[in-house]
Amino acid sequence: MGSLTSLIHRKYQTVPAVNDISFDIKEGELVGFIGPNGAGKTTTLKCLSGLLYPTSGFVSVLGFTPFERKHAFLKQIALVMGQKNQLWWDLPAQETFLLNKEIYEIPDEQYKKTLDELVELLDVESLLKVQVRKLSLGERMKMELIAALIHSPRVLFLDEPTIGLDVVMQKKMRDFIASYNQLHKSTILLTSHYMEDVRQLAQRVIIIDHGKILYDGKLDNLVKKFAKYKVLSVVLDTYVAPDKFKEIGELTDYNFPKAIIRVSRGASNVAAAQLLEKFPVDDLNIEEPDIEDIIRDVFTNESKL
Amino acid sequence: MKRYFRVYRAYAKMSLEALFAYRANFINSSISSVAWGVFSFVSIFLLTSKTSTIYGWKREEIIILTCGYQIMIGVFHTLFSKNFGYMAEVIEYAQLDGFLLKPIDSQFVMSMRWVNYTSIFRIFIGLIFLLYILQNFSIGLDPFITGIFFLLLLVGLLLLYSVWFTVATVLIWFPRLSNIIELMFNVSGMTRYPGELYKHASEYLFLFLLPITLVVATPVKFLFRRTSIFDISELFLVAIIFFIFSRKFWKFALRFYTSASS
Amino acid sequence: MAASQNNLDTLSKEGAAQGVVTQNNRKSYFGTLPMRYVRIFLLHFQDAFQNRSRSFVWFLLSLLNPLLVLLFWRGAFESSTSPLGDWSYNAIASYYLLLVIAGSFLQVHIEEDIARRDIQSGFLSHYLTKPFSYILRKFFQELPWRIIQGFFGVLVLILFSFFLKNGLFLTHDLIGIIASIVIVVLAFFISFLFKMIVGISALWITEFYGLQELIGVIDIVFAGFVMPLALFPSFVRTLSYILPFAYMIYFPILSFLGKLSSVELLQTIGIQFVWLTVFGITYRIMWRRGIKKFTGLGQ
Repeated sequence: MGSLTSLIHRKYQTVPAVNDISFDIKEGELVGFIGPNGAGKTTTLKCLSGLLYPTSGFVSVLGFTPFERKHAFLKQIALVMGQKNQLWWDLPAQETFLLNKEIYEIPDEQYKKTLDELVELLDVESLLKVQVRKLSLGERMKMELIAALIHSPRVLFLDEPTIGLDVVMQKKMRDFIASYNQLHKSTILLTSHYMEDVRQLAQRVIIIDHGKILYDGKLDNLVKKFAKYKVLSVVLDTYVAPDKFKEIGELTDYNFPKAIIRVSRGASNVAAAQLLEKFPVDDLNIEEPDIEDIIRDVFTNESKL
Repeated sequence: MKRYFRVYRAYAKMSLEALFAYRANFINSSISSVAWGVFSFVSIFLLTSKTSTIYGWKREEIIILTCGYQIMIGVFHTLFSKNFGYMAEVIEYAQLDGFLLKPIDSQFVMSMRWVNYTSIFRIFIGLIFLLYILQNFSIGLDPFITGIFFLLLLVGLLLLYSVWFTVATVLIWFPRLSNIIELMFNVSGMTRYPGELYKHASEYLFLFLLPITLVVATPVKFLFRRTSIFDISELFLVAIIFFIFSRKFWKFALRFYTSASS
Repeated sequence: MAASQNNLDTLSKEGAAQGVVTQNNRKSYFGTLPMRYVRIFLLHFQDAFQNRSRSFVWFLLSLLNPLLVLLFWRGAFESSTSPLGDWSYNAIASYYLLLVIAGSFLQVHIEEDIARRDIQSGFLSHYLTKPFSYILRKFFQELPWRIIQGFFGVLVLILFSFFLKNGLFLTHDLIGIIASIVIVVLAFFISFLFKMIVGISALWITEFYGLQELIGVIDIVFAGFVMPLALFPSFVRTLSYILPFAYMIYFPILSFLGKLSSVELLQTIGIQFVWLTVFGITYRIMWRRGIKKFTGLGQ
């Protein structure tokens, strides 16, 4: 009976997607928006690209108001949305590039130059004439990037660019984004819920959760500011009982011969020295904690920020 | 056998729940059903407004032919047609493997997975108009005749299903032509015209379209006591042959698919 | 719509140098503009051509029903001499053959793509972030499919005209032919605009599929797909002349059949312009409102 009533009476709830977000991005910056699903990352990107009208506040990109979607503005930006392809399915990707050439009114010479450069950077020379539906997911993503960059946009919005890709492809994607940013000094904003994207790419990271900014700054500073501890990873020669590690620090993982111990930041050198002195250590490393862990801590402690 | 019955009951229940959960779909399908139901009658009324007999069929007989068509197509759409659309998608996007790996007959799953309850509206529209026409033209019916009529419609249903399934099976070789299913909706619509229509165009055409000419026309002809034992056994025979063929053809297609899949 | 929004003067200072690149080519502005559209059209045509076997199946759909009903009428002609008044068998056969072409060329189907792919699946975002008019993109997308299917229709017409004993019942005078061409072109745009309106209504209506089927059924009856509107009972006939569907399919066919007098030809063109204006304005309003809704403006 319950299902029948839902047919007649629907309950809906209004949830603000983004609530008081402010930031300034300079030309040429590579910024990563990190946050769990539903945090408001895509909403932010849509506001910046003109797809969403902010209920209050002020948005300016390249001197334009995005949601007016003036053609002069659109010619300078590009939006790539994870798995939503703009490529024609039944034709070679090249045809989509030609279409964009006409849409963005790119002169022949510039088109050729840009295309050659992108094709070489992404190593897809042999795939240009292949029908898009015959390409693998990774190859399609590469073509998608070319289609988005063929008009040399000054601002590039990437929404979850590595989603659904295998590890190798993810790395290639990150390398490409980084080099493109270096070469062309174009401003790149990307959203992701993968830590690796941020770790490898973003000079600046903005953490969003529940529509609010939790942190905005350099990644190194994030680690230094929020990581209260360091991680000692040890390889042991002979077996040591777990409770013996208590005097050094917190044993978080023990899988003989490997052990992972957490110590407070200030005491890390002392702790390392003690380990080397009192334990049969084969190998010892002092590491920063995992960014995932840091960010998880940031999220759970957000009320304190 | 009992297992299949239980599986089907589960399918029916899931379809019912989906129907109530997605209000937009419920309204959509209902509107669509009623629209096509009404349309069938509007068009046949318009077409027969100019003549009183066509190919030896009287006006009211042709309208009853449409009534029979509505009832049968209503049942067909309720039980099968959504599954054919889904089947075309599954084949086009190479998702067939999942079905083949389950310990259950693939033809059964492909054909009966979804129940489209809103098509029941068409059955009602057909029945109502049938009663209205019978009343209007004072055509009496006794329960025995009516019973056999519905039985024959069921046999016609089996025949129509077999034809559809055979056509859908061809998609395994041509997955891109999924819009052939759309075409089949129109082809089904051909069953509401008297079979003599095709005979007059060409004997070859009539032979080619034999199943189409039998599906609804034979049961309705029976209603008017214009069928011989030959006509009735023809319907049964063709239905059974096509059903067996559709099954064998499907098995053959699967053999091709599993040996050629990349 | 597209050209007027090239506000080169509102470029940011930094953008002038590299981002928007065609300034130097502006001296050949008037030469390049139409060529650009031709090239875009050709690219879309390539895509549609790639799918020509699907196009053929769609064509079979528009072929089946007219032929079927024509067979039906044949039966009527065999049982009485002139069941359809002043429509001879030749005339009615020509009507349905032209209906095949009308169904494949003048019936636009873009609303499905707009509602399903663009609006419900969100691909509209791709179009909104590009410096090109949406309606123009959709026009170039649809036109190739119509041309390819219309081409099949013409082939069928030529083929079947050999089987008609007294040849095809078509208009012969020059004025009639020119007027017919005008009427067909106008009919195409009316059809296209109407389907654009139906398509973007998905921005408000979740029950789009039902609406689409309902309109489809009304279209079949009132555009003359069942039988010529002139043969309808009077009440239905009047209604069909008021609705726009007749001006998308029926009147183009009638004018090619030569069944419209000069006055009626002018009347038809006049009414078509009216519908074109009505749909044009309606689309404009709906598009503005719809995009505001899609982008959350004013909420």
